[in-house]
Amino acid sequence: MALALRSVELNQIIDRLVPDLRSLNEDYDDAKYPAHA
Amino acid sequence: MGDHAKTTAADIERALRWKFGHWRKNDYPAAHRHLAERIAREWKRFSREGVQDPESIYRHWVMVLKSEAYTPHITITFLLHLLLPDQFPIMDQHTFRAMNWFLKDARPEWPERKAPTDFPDFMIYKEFFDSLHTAWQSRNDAPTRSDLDKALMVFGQGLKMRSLGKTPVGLTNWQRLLL
Repeated sequence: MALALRSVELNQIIDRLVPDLRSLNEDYDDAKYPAHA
Repeated sequence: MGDHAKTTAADIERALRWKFGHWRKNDYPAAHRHLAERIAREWKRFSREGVQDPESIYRHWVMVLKSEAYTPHITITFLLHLLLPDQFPIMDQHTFRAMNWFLKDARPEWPERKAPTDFPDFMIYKEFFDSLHTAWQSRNDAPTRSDLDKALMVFGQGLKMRSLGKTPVGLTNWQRLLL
């Protein structure tokens, strides 16, 4: 099964994530995962 | 990690220790230690067999680990990430949960799954991750693959905490995504 996400769906997901991307990354547990690549 | 013939058992054990979240611990759960040591022991044989196709690599490790109490699908997909980091993102229960939440939101008929149980689930996650990352590149604020991975993981952790009736600790303003 393939997702074949439509651009309107991808843009909706991106629009939801854009304002919080920085804080989500800041909240990433660097103590637990110190060298995430 | 690249050429897996050059990857040592110690490399694998260290990578799995990181993945299991025990990088800075002197001691960690016996089940995780057992699995990391078992995979490390089997690594040389795996390298000699020269399996290259991603699904074959996945099936190889399912067979090798079939005597475990459960099939560690997420750990096996992490091995694929180590071998082919540019092709396969890290998938775990948190990023998989986040994907399902966003898909359900964008596509209400999406048949939500709680956990990955086979290779096709990993391919769906890969397609989701790659499509999202690629679509994002046309914008100024495009994240790296690593940043997107981290964001999805934290988001998925928050979903889990919320499902347990807990307030996500240490998270800042992402909760409004859930409204």
